[in-house]
Amino acid sequence: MGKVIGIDLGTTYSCVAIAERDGPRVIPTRTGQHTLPSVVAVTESGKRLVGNLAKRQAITNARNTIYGAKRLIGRRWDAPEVQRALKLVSYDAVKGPHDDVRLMMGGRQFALPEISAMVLQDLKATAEEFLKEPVNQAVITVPAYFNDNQRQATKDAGRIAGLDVLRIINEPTAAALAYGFGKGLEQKVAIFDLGGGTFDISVLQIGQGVFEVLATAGDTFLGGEDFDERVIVWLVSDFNDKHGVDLRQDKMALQRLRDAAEKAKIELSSVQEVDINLPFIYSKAKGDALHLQRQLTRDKLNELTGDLVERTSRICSQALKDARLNTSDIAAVILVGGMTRMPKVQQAAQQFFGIPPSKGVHPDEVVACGAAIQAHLLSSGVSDTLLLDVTPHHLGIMVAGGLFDVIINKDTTIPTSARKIFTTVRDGQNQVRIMVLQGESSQAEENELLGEFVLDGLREAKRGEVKIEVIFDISADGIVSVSAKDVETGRAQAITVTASSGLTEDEILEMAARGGDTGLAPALPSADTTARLKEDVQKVLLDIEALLPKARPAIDGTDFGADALKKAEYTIARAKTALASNNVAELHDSLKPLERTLTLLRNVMQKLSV
Amino acid sequence: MTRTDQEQLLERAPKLNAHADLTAAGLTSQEAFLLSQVDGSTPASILADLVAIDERTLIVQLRRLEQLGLIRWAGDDEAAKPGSTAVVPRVTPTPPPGVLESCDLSVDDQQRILEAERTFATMNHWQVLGLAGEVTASDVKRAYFAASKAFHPDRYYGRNLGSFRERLERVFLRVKAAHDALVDDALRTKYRAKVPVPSRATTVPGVHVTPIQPAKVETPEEKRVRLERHRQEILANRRQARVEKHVRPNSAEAVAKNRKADELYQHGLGQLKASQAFAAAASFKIAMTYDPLNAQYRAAFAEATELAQGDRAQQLAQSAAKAEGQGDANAAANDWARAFELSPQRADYAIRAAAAFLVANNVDRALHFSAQAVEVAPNRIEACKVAAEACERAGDKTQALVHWQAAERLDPADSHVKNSLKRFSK
Repeated sequence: MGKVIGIDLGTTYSCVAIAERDGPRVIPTRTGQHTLPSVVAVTESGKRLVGNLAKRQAITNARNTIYGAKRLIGRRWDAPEVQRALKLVSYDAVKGPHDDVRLMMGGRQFALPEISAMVLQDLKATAEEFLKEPVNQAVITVPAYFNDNQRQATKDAGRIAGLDVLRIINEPTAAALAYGFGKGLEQKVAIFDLGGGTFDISVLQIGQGVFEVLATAGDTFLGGEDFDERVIVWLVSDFNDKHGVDLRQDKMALQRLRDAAEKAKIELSSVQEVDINLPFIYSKAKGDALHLQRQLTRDKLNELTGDLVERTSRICSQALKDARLNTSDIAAVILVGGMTRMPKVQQAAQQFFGIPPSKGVHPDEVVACGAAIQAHLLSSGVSDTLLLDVTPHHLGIMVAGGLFDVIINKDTTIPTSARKIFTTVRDGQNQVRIMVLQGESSQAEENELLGEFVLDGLREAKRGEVKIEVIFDISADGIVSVSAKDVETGRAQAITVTASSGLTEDEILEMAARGGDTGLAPALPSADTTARLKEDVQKVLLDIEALLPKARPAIDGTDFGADALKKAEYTIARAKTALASNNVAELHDSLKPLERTLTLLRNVMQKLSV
Repeated sequence: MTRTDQEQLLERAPKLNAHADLTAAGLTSQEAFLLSQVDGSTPASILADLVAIDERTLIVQLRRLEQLGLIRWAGDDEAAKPGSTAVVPRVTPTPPPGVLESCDLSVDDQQRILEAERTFATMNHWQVLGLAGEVTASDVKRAYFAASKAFHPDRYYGRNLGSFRERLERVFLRVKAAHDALVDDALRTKYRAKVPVPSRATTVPGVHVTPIQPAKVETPEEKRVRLERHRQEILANRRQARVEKHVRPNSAEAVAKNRKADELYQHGLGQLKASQAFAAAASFKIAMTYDPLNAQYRAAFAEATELAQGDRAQQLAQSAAKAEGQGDANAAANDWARAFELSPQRADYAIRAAAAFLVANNVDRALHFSAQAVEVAPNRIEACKVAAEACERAGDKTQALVHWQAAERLDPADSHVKNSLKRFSK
């Protein structure tokens, strides 16, 4: 097994890490930073940008710059959260073919997993450059409160990026792993994770190298962007009062407001007041420009966001109640996520738990490090550390009256298995429809539908006479299978629930194949083109291998020699892996560097013969 | 091989490859004996002790067994990368269904899981977690964490587990059910009223309930003590196995489940008759890889092992006698000592070992073996005499007197004893 990386795919920033026997470390991006903005864009010339470059041009190219994709991933178009979120973004969105959300960028539609895949691909490349070997496997984190559809969508994003996702783990759990790994702790800890888009609280018990999740609670729409939003609304409504102009209608103005709000919020963590200056924010007519200028104090920010901070405390007490613990049982509180830098948030956490939060973990990096540790544990067969994870939501089926009947409770350690007996509700009923649901509401329709199937051929009898046993199984990988059985006749039906990311298998494969290009070239590699691509790669590879032994002595002597040879060898190794794995995106990606290597070798040979 | 390579190998435990092709291998008796003692958890350095050969020879023989595809090194499974030179284990093409199969689990792991699955089925919650006496919530947690580390499917992530995937999940679910029923104070009290807590804890296969200490560097002395304790445990288990051997295997269980395994078993019986105890032990061991719970195979293996150990002890006794003849007391003492460890019922080996250690001026070892001799054969005058002399040399007069007096009771006419006692009365 090659090296397996850990990725924190965040709402606003992402981070990649690798763990080996001596512990985890963050892999710096090509520009030397430890995190990568989760922003992608397509420029006017059709060039795709990811990370800092994309973020930097966001204001001038607001319509074609996508951020916060994580808030939409795996959600349905009609979901109220989605509609609310889309009102506030500067890019356009349309309804996809499977009720999913598609975003417009560079005149083309992109599915959410595709957007996330671009960020993942960049992190993958970063890791490959750093580790000097191809990386094909990863553990990716998601908010603890993500449902199965959102998790599946994240997994699909990994596949599109050419990564085999060994496991999706919860961000707070990952943070706990990174906090406690190798320390021999015996205690209960709370992870308070307020990130760019989501809030999660998890309570874990650590002992003998086992990390057991006791309870988890959270809100997928409570994060730094909501704090920014409050500032934006405050700025916009004041501007509207003064000038009668709603700045939110102007995409570019909105993007400038967003940047300014975030910057002001961050600065207020260290100073008491900041000035927000946005000159020429709006022009009514020629030469008649409007400017925005306001002062924001820390107290005002606290006032604007007070209810958001309060919401975190409410969710914390829910988690403790679920774990059947008191705040006094918690030995350490670990703060995760950039928003926990805000003094008011730290105060709230300290006030709630009655102890000062633990220092010593890096709030932006700890999640990726934890993911890397789990990647290491799974791939290396280490047996002294084990993560006992839980299922984050209730799982069950819909019963008569549109009610949700829970079969596996949330916070149940996986793997797990549970069964329940149901009966028919009508006389002469000869079939039942089993609708598998996930969520917290007692109303079936308010929960996520994970899948459905029909058990037919039931004995026709009076209602309540035919007994049907429904069995739920969740494997250690989190895969849910459900079966239903007529107790009397033994007739059974079963499905493995494959949560839907909003994409079909074919679409995912297609996107994965397309992954390497700008996403604008519509050419889809068929089996034919794959074969041709393989041929091309093989041909170049053969040429290189013929030239390399002759060129090596000449290159080796030069200044750049050792480096160039190393690069060439890496390129060859990568191409060979791509050939072996039949991975179209990889093949595609490796062809260019191969050709460059060949050109280099030919040049060297030419100089030699002169 | 460098010195450090060898040292590293000595720390590692060889594992038996399931369904290895023994007949094609053509092993020497010594190699067969070594193979029969490989269990996947005993480090090579201890194996050297168990079969009483020196470490260099041991490494050479283990290397050969590895090349023959009979064993591999524990931990190699994880480290093996495509293109590495790890030897691919030879396995029979179609493993028997329902019994052991060719999957990425060691024979010992398979046995452990099968054993847990079988025993958990009839156990109550207390027994599953190995709890006894006053049980607190944190006791339950500790036992649950230990069992989770042994049986959670993630421990074997990414490996081909065959039917063991489901077994493992079943075992883990059973452990979890016990935890869920006992971790809560109210539920535990209720369960206790229904099912009383056992006074003595059952041992759960493969689970060690010891709090994990943060990793620290072991000093050479600590390592020696740890290895010695491990060795003593294994020797104690051997002794126990000898006692259990005489229990008749349950006939229902004794039915051979697999033709290949039965062939090996019959082959082994033939070897036993032909006094090839070493080879027989190896045959039975491989038969057990097909069917680890077969009591008949186990009994035969225990018997063959005992005979093989006896044979090896005799070889060592001969070489000890030869060393004595050449005046090499040290070598002789060591060989007698190893012979006794292999045949712990042979008091004469212990007596000779103690005597030789006295000659070699190693009083501690002499004391140890003379005490063993007296324990095994309290009615042998030689044992009492050598023990008395060892105690005298160690300066323990009281104990020496006890032994001399015991010797006198056994043979009041023995002049050596009489003289010694006279010396004492002064």
